Amino acid sequence: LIDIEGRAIMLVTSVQFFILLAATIALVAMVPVGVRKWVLLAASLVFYTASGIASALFMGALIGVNFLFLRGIVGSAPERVRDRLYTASMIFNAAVFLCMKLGFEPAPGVQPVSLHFGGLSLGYPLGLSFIILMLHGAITDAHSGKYVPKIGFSTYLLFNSFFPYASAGPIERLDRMAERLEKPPRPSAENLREGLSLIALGLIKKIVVANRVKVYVDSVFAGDLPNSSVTMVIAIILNVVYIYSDFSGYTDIARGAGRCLGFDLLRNFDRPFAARSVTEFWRRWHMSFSSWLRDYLYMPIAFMWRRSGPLGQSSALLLTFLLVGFWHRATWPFLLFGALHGVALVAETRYDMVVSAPNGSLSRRLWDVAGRLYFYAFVCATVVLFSASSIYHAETIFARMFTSKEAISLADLMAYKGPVLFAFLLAGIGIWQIMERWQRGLSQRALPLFLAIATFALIFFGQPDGGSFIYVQF
Amino acid sequence: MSSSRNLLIWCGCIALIVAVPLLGDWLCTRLILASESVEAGRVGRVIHGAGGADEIPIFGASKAEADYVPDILGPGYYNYGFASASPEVVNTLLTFELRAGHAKTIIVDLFPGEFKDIGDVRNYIPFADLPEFQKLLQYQDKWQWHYAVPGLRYFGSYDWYIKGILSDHIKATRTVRHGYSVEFNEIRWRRDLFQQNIQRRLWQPPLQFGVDPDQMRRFLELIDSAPDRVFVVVISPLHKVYLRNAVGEAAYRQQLATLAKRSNVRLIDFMRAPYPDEYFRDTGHLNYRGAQVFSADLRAAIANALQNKAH
Repeated sequence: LIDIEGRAIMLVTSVQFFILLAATIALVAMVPVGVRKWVLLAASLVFYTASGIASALFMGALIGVNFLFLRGIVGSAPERVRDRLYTASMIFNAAVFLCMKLGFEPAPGVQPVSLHFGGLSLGYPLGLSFIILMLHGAITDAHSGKYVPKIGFSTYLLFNSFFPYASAGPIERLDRMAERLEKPPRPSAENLREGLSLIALGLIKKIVVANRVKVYVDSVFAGDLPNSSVTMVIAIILNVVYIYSDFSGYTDIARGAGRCLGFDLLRNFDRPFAARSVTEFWRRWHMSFSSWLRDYLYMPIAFMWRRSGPLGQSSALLLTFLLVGFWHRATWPFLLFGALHGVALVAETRYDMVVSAPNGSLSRRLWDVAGRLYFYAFVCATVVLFSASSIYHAETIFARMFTSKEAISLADLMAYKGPVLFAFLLAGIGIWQIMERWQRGLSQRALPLFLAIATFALIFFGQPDGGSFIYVQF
Repeated sequence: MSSSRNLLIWCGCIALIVAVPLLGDWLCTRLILASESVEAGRVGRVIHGAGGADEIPIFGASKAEADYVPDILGPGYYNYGFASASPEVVNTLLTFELRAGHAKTIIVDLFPGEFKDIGDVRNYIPFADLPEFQKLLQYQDKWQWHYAVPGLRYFGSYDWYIKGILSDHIKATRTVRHGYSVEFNEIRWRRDLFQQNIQRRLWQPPLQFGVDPDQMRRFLELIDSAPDRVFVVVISPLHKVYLRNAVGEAAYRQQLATLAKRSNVRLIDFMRAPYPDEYFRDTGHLNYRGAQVFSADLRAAIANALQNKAH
C-alpha cells in the first residue's frame, strides 16, 4: 500500500481494494435506494483515509470550500456577486493546486515534503490533480448555466471522492453523475459482467504487461549496461507501451469498479495509436482530460484572445499544453513534454490551414503512412520525458540511441535479461491484445471462461513488483 | 434449464481457476526440486537430504558460490552457496543438514564482515510453508501472504524458475556441476576492467570486520548440537583492496578464536592469500581460474586440517 514516493495509498490492484469493492457491491445490492449513497460515501471515506487522515481531512475541507462557492454561484445573488465568487473560486483552486504541486510534489526519487500537525502528517494528497479539475469543471458549468446542480453536500462530496476514480480519474462531469449519485442504482448482472471483465483486463494490462515492460525499459534507460542503438529504439517504443498499458490498465480497473456499482464512467482511451497526428492522438488519449482541457481551459482562453485571430488560437493552444505539462508534474521534463505537444498541435493546426490532403489513392496512402510515421516518432520521442528523471537523463537516452557503438547481440536486444524473460514480455503483450478484443464482444455466458483465462494469465505471466500506477503520482 | 446450465459453467470455470494453478504449482515445484541451476532447487536438496550421506556440503553466500569448485575439491563435495545468503540463511540450511543425521564434514564459508541479507525470496518460496523459512522471510520483511497459498505462491516468479530449469537442459550459457556454475560467456579478464572494479571498491566504505553476534551465537549452537560432525570454517580470499582500511579485525579474531576452541571445528584462513589480480572476478570474488587454484589449495588445506586435529 505504498506508492513509489513513499505515500500510503490503497492501490486499485491491492487485495484491500477488492475487498472494499466486493463489500460495497454487496451492501449496495442489499440496502434500499435511500441508503446506497451513504454506503458509497462510507466506502470512499475508507478508501481515502487509507492514504492518511490528514489527506482525507484536507480533501474534505477543499471540497467543502468549493461547495460553498457553488452554492453562492447557483443562489439568487446578483450576477456581479456570482462573477466575483466564480473568480474567487478559480483563484482559490489555482492557489491550492500551485502550492501543493510546487511544495509537496518534488521530483521523482526525492523524499516528498510533508506538513506535521499533532499526530497527523500531510503530503501531496492522493488524486488532487484530478479532483481539482472536477471541482473547477462543476463550478464553471454552474456559472455558465450549462448545468445548475440541485444537490446537497453529501452528493457533491461523493462526486468528488467516489473511490473508483478518486486516485487518478477518469475526470468525471457533475452533470453526468449527479442524478445517479443521488439515487445510486442496484448493480445488475450486466453491470457485473462488464465491470468484472474490465477489471480483469485492467489487471492484465498492469500486472502482465506494464510491470514486465517496465523492467526492460528501466534497465535500458538506467544506462548501467552497454546497449546498441537498436536496443535503445526498442526501449523507447516499449516505454510508450509501458505508459499506455499502465494508465489504460488503471482506467479499466477504475471503470470496471464503477460499472460493478452501476455507474458508467467516462472512457479515457479510444485506440490512441490508431491516430495519424498529434491532434488526433489527443482526441483518443486520456479523453476525459483532453475534453476537460478543451471545455474549461482552451476554449475560454481562445475566446478571450479571439480578436488576435489565428495567433490568439495558437497561443491559447500553446498555453493550454504548457499547463498540461505542469499539471502532470512541476519539473522540466514534463514542462518540455507539454511545450512540445503544444508546438506540434499548433503546427498541425496551421499546416492544415494551408495544405490539404493530396488527391489520388496512392498519394493519399503515402500521405497516411508519412502521417503515421511522424506521429509515432513524435510520441515515442516525447514520452521519453515521462520516464526520464531530468532533461539531462532524456538527452543521455537520445544520445545513446544515436551514438552507441555497441554491436547488436541477442543478449543486448533482451537488455541482458535473458530470452525467457523477454519471451514472457512478448507473451504478455500478446495476451493483452487477445483479451482486449475478446472483452469488447464478451457475452454473459463467456464471462466465467474469460475470468478463468485472465486468472491464469495473471498467475503464470504476472509480475507483481511494478509499484504504483504512473498517473496515481500526479 | 438455462440458469442451471449457467451455474454449471460457472462451477466448471471456478474448478478450473482452482485446478490449473494448483497443477502449475505442482509441476513447477517438481521441476525446481530437480534443478541444479535454480537456487531453490539446491535449497530443496538440503531440506530433503537429497545429497545423501556421502555428500560434503559447502555453505555460504556468493563467495562460496564463486570460489569453491567441487570437482577439484574432491569426490562428494557439493556447492550450496548462493548470492546474499547471510549467516542467517546458512544457519537455517545447517539446521536441515544436521537434522538429516549424516556424518560427513561440512564446509562453511564465513565472510569476515557483517551482513543480514537473505538474497532473492524466490530461493525460498517452494518451502515457505516450513516455519524455518517463514521466519527467514519475515526476518527481512519479505513475507507475502500468497507464499502460503498453493497455486498462488509462484505468482510473479514462473519466468525466473523456468529460466533456471531451461538452463539445466539447454546449457546454452552455463553449465552447473555439483552446484558450481561455469559461465561459458564469462567476460575475459582485462586489467582495465579490473582497475575500474578496484576504483569502485575504493569509493565504498571500508570493510567492518566481524560476524553479527546473534548469527554467530546461533552458528555456535548448531556446531555444539552436532559434536560428531566436523565443521571446516573457511575464510576465502579477498583482494587486498577489499581489506584496505578495514576496521575491527581484533574483535573479529576474537570471534574466530571462540569458534576454533570447538573440538569439531577446523578453521582455515585464506583471507589474505596472495593471489594475483588475474584470479579475481572483482575484489570480493574469484573468477573461474582463481577458483580452480583456490580449490586445489583448499583441498590440501582441508586434508591437512582434518589430519592435524585427528592427531
